[in-house]
Amino acid sequence: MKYKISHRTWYQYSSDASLSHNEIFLTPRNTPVQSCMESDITLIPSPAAISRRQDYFGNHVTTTTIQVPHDLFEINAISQVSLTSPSVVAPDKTPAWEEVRKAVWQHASPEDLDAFQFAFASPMIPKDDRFGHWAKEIFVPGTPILQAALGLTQKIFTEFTYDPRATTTTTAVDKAFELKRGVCQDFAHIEIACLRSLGLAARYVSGYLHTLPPPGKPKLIGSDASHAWVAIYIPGTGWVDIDPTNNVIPTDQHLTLAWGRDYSDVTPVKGTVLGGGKHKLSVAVDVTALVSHGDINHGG
Amino acid sequence: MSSQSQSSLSQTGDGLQPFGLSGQENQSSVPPGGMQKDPSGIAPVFPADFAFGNVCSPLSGPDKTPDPHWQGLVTYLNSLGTAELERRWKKAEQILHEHGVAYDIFSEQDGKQRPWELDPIPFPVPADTWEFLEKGICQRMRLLSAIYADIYGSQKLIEKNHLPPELFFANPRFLRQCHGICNKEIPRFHFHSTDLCRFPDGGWRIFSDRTQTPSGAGYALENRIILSRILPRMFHAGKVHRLAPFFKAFYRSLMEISGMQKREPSIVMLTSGPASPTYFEHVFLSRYLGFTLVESSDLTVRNDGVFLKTLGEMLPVDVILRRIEDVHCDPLVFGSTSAAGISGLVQAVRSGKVAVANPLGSGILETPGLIPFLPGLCRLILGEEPILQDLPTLWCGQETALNTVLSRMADADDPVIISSAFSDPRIPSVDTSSLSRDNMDRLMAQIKAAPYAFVGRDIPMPCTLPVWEKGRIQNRITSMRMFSTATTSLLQETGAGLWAAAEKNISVMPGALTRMADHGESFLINTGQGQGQGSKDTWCFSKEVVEYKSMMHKFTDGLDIHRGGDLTSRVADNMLWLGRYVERTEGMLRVIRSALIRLNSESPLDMIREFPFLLRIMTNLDISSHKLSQPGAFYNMRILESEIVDPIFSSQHPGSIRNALDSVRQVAASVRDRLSNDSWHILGRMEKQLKQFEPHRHNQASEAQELVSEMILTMSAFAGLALESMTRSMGWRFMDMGRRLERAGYMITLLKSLFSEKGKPRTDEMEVLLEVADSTITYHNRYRTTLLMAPIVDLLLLDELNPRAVGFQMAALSDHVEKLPRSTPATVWTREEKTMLDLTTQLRLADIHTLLEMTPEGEMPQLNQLLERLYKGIKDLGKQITQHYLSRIETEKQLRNAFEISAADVSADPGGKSSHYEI
Repeated sequence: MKYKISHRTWYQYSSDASLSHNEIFLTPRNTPVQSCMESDITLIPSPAAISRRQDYFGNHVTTTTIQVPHDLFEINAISQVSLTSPSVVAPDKTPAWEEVRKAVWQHASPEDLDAFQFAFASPMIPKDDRFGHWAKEIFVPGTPILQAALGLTQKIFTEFTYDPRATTTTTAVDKAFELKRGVCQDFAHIEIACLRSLGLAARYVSGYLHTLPPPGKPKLIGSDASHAWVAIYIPGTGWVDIDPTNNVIPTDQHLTLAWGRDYSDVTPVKGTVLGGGKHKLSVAVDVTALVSHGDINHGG
Repeated sequence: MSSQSQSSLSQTGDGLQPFGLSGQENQSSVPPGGMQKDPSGIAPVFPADFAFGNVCSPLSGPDKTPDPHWQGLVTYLNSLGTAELERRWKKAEQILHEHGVAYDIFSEQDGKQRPWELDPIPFPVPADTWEFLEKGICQRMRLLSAIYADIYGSQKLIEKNHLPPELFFANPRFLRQCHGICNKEIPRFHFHSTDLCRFPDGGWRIFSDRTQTPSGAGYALENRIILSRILPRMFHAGKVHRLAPFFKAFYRSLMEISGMQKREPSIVMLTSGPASPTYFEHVFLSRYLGFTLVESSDLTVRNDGVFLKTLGEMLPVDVILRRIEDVHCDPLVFGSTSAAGISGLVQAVRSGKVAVANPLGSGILETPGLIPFLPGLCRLILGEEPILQDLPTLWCGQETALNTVLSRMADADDPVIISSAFSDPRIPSVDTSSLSRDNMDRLMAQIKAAPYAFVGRDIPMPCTLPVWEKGRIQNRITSMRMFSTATTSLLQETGAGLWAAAEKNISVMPGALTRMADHGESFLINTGQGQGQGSKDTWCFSKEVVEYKSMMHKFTDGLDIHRGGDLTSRVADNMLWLGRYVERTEGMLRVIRSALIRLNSESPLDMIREFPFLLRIMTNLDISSHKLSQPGAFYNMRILESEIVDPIFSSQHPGSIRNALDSVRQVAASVRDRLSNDSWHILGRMEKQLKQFEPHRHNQASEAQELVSEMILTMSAFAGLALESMTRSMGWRFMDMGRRLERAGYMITLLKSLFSEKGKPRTDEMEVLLEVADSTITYHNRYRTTLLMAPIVDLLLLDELNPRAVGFQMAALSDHVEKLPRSTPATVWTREEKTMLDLTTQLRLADIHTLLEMTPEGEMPQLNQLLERLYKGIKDLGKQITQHYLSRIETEKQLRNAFEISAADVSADPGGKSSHYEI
């Protein structure tokens, strides 16, 4: 399956901004099932300095500086990726979750050691035992890890309401947990908080979800959005993605941009600006399948 | 003692007899401590029965007698006697006060300012001990540098299980954003400090390392300067290592990392500003080392390089010596919301265009969780046995250690200090013996839930030193903070893939900041500066004669550093406002004094015909409320007192002297490094004068009058000194511009207050005008006549020779704006120059008789129009200067993160620079 992703972000300022520094995580990384064939980021106005590198987690990050007076700053990221479905893991055949925890904490293999860093608190997901208690009813002793994780995903999907007005990108995970509302970022953070609270390794995945229009209607450009989900580590199997917003294990419609401990590690666009007065932010995302495909979920 | 005998003694000494005290004042060879009373009646500092503490092993041999260094010290101090020591100690305190040495200078308003305390008795460290410590500290720095290189590089130590990964993965001080940041160069610490104590068993133990922004070296230097002033003979006779060579090495260390073989790298010292508890030290060290002291808003990242925002241009910066913690250095990368930090700095470091000392991310090495692993790593990485031990520390991430800690917590007889393994400020260190049952249970539960986040540490029971306290000698436990710097790259990868490091490239300060405390745990629980009970100068002895080097010598090895042209926009702005506030305060004081003189006069108030005019001035200058200018209001003494006397001292009232002085002090503190110590001292005196005044006493009006008169003198002294002790640089120019702008505004307001009323002003009113304009004497010298309108207006408005006149201010301002830096050729006039040309021309063309022409209604439209135009012109000029030269001060703000379309339509606040107010 091949996709074209167009992700346009623009800031409009009420007065001229003279300087802007930005960090951009909009280049899709390669994964065992995804390869990025093409990726290009263009900026308006054009930057005085631009550099690309891989961050600590292996994500592609672009750092830029705009130094000319501007009242509009636009980032256009266009990529093409090809995606295959991950091999199916039978949830009931996975090891008991306590076994997984033990292996991660013993980190005998390099893979386990690498996963171990995702077992701890992170800037947006502080350690909080309430999450563990909440998840405990699903994580009964001996439950296969993936079965338990899917049970937790189901619980979040059922008990939480998708509500873009309830939270913002900076909402703390415990706030969203209390509200029982939020968007994909909040649900991912909550699921990660639960898994880590139990001593498991879980990471935050930033990306896109390919959606289709209702039957008979044309797809609206920009109707897609950034998306986020969770990956859980299972020794021997590796990382398995889980999408709590849609209560599914992603197959070939979830396109990965970057991963980290939480949203703060992989914020798609972050920046600082000098001057500019008030600013207005707009985002338009469009994911197009280069070969047609069925089924639909909702993003965000 | 003659200087001759000093030098002969120090040359013949065996290295253990440092003080050469066979001079006349020490002829008696009474053993130390055995001196009861000198025949001359001097009370000895160390009484005969004084016992060095039971743990004074740094000073005594096995037979408990002080070693030769102490012997010399004791003999010398006893020969001085208690009275003389007390006198010198008082002098030391006075010097400290005058130098403004304080910890936390800026919180003075809350009464929290802590004066720096210095004990008059130094801590003599024998040459052998010093050499041992020097080796130990060098080893420590090599080890920590190697660990830093690994953690932010290949992470082999974690991979091969030499270090538990939890110490990094769970550690908020491990900054993934800094990974690989030093790829181009092997990292090193330009400045490192180690806190250590000597224990009764004779061993030295380290209890903490500072690898981000170690503080205290400046205080140690200040201590040395003062002690060598109050005990000069002792110091000069001894073989005491000087501190200057260390600072020279430190300077070289920073010169070298610029890495560009530049002859004159530009080095700045980055402070978080006057609110920092150690701001005194930032100012002191930056001055001593000759680095420009900057705040984050002085710097900007362009083209991946760092630049200093100065008045004229942006100057490239090669090296930043930071006094800001890792996570506050770059708001873009670390997402911190604090005002400190330079957006884009991490990228600039990566690109190699700027070097930051110490390297970013080095805070990880301060975390106590590492301590138990250091001995093993020392053997592994350096192939050496550790020279200095650590304070016994158990990392709860290991099961046996966890169990030991938990059982010790339960055992009241074996107390332990629990600290965050990651120096997390949210988890303060606690002595478990001080905990209630509930808190103990809670803490135990926390530890069990995340054992890797905690350490248990022994309570240090270090040795004591004698301290001069309340007129006598006492024993106090002490710790030392030692400092080191790496002059060239330390590390080389050996064949085995591990790091070896060279010792000769490290320089350790032969001295230390020695601090006292009441209890051992306070070294761990409050390790911050100034928390202890005073400090000591530390004298490290040499086996050789120490070559004398001036503290003021040049560091530069014959290389001239250009300074002076680097006034940053922020400093210029503060200088401008300092000039304004000082002038504003002085003007207010003059008006208030005139009012108080009349309040205190014998005449009934309703007989004082000029009083309404004075009240009008006060209202126009916003000193008092409008209520007072209502007719009839001023006949009531009680109202007058509550409306005049109270407000001037109340911080509630915007126009009060209290507030004016606060403004002066705040802005002066932010340019502290540009003001002389004397000016600073005067400012302190003024604060004191104001504090001494207690309102609500029945004769308060007359007391207030005296106070205000005193304050006028002090204020003039400050203004005079601040201007006179400054080179005629841009800083001075901005300060004087501020002063002239303010004075012009003040004079125009006075004139408007008089002439905006209909009819001819009365003589008594004109007298008041001359009085508050400080021009009475000039007028009478010049005219020797009764008061007439024309000469007064000429003297106060048009005259370019009277330093109080509007004309004088305009001439001075014209000169200033002409000499400001400009990007355009001199033939193209700047807006400021045009404004000044307009204003001076209007004044010079004005005809005094035309100005005073009166309409039948009793108005003087010509004069009033001119005054209005001048007033507006002055305000415009202030704005133009700000726009042209000072607008770069604005700080960057965070953009909203793009994520949810629905959450998109949100605007951010405009950048947060605190703004000054204009009249």
